[in-house]
Amino acid sequence: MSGDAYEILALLMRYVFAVIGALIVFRSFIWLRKDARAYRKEMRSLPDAGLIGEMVDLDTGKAQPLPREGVIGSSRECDIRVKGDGVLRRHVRFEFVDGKGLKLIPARRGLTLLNGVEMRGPGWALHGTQLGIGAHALRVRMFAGLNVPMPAAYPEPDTILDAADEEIPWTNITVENSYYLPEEQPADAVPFGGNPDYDGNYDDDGQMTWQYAYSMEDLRQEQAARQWIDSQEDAEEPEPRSRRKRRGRRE
Amino acid sequence: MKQLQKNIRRVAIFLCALFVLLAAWGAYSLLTYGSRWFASSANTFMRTRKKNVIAGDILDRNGVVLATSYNGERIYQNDLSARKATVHVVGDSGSNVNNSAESFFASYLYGFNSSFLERLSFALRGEQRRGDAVRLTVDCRLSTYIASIFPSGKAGAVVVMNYKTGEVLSEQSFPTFDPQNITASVKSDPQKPFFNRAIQGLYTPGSTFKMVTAASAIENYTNYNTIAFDCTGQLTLGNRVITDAGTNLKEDKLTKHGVIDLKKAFQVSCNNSFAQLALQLGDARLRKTAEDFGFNDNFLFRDVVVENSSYPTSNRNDGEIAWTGAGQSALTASPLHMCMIGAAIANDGVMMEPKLLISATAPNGTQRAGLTAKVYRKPLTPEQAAVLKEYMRAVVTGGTGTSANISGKKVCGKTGSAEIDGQEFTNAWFVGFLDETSSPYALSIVVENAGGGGSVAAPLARKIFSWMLKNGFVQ
Amino acid sequence: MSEKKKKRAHEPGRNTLLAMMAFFFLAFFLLALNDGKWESFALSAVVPAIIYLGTAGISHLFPSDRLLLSLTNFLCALGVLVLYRLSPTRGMTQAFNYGVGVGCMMLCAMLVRYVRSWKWLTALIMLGSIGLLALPLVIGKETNGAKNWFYIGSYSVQPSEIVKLALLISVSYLLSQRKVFLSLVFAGACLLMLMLQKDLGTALLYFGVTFILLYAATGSVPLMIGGVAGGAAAAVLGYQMFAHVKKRVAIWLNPWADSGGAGYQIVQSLIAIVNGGAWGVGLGLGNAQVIPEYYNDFIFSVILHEFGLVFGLVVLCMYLFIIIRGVMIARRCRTVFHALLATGCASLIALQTFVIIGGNIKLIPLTGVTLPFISYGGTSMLCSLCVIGLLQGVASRNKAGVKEDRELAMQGGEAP
Repeated sequence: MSGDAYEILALLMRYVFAVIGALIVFRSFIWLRKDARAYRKEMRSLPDAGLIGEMVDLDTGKAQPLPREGVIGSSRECDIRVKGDGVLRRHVRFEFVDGKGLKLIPARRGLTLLNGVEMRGPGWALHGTQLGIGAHALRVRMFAGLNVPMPAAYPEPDTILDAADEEIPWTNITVENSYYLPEEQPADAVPFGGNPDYDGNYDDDGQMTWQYAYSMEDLRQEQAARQWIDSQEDAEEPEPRSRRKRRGRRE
Repeated sequence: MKQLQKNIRRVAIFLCALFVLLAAWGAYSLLTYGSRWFASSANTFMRTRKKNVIAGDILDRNGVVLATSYNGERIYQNDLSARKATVHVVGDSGSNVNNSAESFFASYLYGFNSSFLERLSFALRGEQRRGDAVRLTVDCRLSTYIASIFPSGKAGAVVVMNYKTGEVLSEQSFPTFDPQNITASVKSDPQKPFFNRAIQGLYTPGSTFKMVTAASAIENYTNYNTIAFDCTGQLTLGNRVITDAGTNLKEDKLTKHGVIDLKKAFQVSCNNSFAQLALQLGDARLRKTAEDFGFNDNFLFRDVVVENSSYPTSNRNDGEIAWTGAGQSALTASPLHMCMIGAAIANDGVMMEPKLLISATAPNGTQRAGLTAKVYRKPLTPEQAAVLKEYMRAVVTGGTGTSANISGKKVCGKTGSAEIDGQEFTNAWFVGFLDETSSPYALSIVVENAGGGGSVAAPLARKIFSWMLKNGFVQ
Repeated sequence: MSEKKKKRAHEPGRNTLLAMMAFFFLAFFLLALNDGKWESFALSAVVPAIIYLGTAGISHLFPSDRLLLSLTNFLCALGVLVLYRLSPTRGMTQAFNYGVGVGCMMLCAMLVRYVRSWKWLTALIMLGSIGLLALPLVIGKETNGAKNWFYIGSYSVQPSEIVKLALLISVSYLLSQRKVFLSLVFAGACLLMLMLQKDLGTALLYFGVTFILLYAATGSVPLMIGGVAGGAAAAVLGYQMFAHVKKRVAIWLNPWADSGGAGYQIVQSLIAIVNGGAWGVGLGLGNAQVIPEYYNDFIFSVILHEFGLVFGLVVLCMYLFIIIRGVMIARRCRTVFHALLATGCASLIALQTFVIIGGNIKLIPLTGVTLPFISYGGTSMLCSLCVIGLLQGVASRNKAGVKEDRELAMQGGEAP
């Protein structure tokens, strides 16, 4: 093709290219939006998408949706929000491991109770496991169909009144099936206390090996939480029901 | 997880903001500087197109052909002296002169702005494409005359403007050369004939800067006409001594003016008085006035690339401030800018943007660009400008610039003799204008290494104005 | 119309794909008219076909994100187009790199999709990357003031591009396990290696991606302030220590001072962009070859020159959509690791594009990074496609998760 004719054609085509380019951008944008809308619609029809269950607060009966990974704490950014005394801003981190259950990693030792046992390191929770965080008792409810081992069976109360009246057979919940999974229990298992196998979240002195955003506020909260727990042990007045149960367990 | 999602959202907004920044900055810098980059001599794209297009003609304001294309070559004005006089504003085919019309208006000359339909019609007719004809504001005869009277062998620049519209009637730099005969000696000439001193040369303005100092006084002091200066001939500030022209301490010759007022100080160009004035005003106020007049500004005129003038901002001790008031120290300005300052005073305090392009006309007659006068700044009110006009008239009637006077016409001006280190003689400056409504012209002249402004530059101004008045520059 | 045909007609993105195919058909046909070679005519049919196969074909083989694929293929094909116009051999090499890259992309996608426990893999990757980064220091050659290449036989390998992927995976994993300190140590080690190799552009990218991932994972203000301060300090240190950094900053501030020597590259780039104007000078009519390194670092200037500003904005939007899509994928993740990985991929592409286009238009000083998908260079194309592969893997994981949820919901399985 001759040079001049090509020049005319190329000059004409540049407008065509720009128009087609704009068209591509426009249609891609529409595609993006359509996809986002379709996804939102789908998520609306699947209200439990991405969740593995619920965390029920036994005092109020309120259930919060439990995602696969998240944090329990008093801060607004936490996935499970628990307000009140004795609760740190980021209290416990949890992570669902397919086949094993919900792995719980507390931020500080001794501030969380797992089925009445003080947690000194990471632990596992299954359906029905009860957590003690501050003044709150939280129970884990997992959806059926998840790939988790079956917990020791005990009836779950529907309301808090039932929980008060019912005799919870604590003796059924042993260290073995709530703290360690049977196949994971080391030969010289220590019933209480830290599990030296776990992955370096704590050093020998019980201090966290990593700190992030450790602030005076966190320190104050931790001290307040410890003080509160200590004060609960010394108190003579009748305590809330949930604490009474936990106290019985400790002896 | 909730927090993670929130943070991811914020990250996304940040990343999108980066892209918006990219697009916005790109658009801004292209809009502001695009035409400048296009006109730069480093742009070789036009050269590849030159073989496809017959470049358009460059005409002066009256239609005299300054450059045209013939047989694939660029030829310039027939008359040798006219050719040499306009070479800096027109340019040459080898792009030796920076930012001349040949390169700066190349987009018009090479038909870059032609619409698709025009190109198509050329192709259909089988003709080679032609660029637009560019008509400049310069006047060829005026430029030729100025080149003939400029002292031969001296370097310098002359700029003549219409202060009402901002049109540049003459933009010349000396020494000049013949664009059709560029010899090796031209290329190796130490005075650098390719360099366009009118718009790219930065000079110390010397006493012509006193226009700005006086303007600062008028702005800041309501009693400016009662201020008295005591000129003792020698003002000592630290280790600097301010003296006046004609003083030679070694020969015990001391020029002193005694007790004078501002108008008289301006008239006789008393360095001592203006040094004291600068110290009284203080660097901040003087600098503000200078910046109102365009110093330290980044000139981005549409038609012409002018080097930025600068008012010094560092090392401001008393001696420096005093000398700045008198026009020395580290001040620099281009001849075009000094002409604009004079033009502003003449135009009731309104500084117009310099314009070089009257029109760009396509081969089929469509006009692609026109001349619209644009106000650049308003450094003075009309009343303040009137006072300065009066002072500048006094310079010509009874001060250092009497050799610029033309009987029957109101010529106003300010002379300057800038001392340059290493130069035997001072640079001779004259910035002036005709205070006549029918001939609104301002000019600035600088002759390097020539002597006093009043003796070298002012007579040139008189000759130029007289010629203009006799040769049709009367509306 | 039958059910199946109706469904395909309303398949999302069909029109976009058709528009892209039309674009490349016209573009290559125009080029073919210019040079008259039969290969160019052939390409005008082959390239649209590859775009179709690359999008629709791959999404049938492997559950992947069609939108992301189509955007990526558009950019890669644009790269082939521009490089082919500048030099046909380079264009063909780029197409070959694209082919290899697509294979690696699918490998990466499958890696992310099917690997369950990242713990040991990450440890391996971390050790391997430190080793890889150390190699050029030992057996590498110095080019353009950076010593970050080495040769395997006749192929030049740039390990810093491969380590980019390793960095993404390992930093995401470590942060998801809350091992902030370890991730900083690893990133710091990589940065140190890069500084030793004087590959400062890639070091900047590493720093940026790590910073963004840290913010996403922790959101802690003291850490961010520390990061910014550290980055600023490193920048000042780099400026003082390296002479060529000083030169680059000086050229960035005023390239016109030395428009024939050191500033020539950026000056010619700006001039080419201005010559392009809004609509470009026309495909095949430009003189972009005057810009040194026009085929890798300044390829965007070539696009602006020949296609114009409007089309340049189009290309910028394509990159923007890829990033938005990456973030959308990250938001749909169920696990912290995958969300961080997707965010890291999106921010890597975003930062790389920003840095290189910023250098082309004189927003920031020039660095040694290349424009993803479009620049000529085997490792660059490979790395960018692998990053998209990681995103695809995460996206397919999300889809699998949604499918799982739908099945769970169908069972009626709620709380017992």
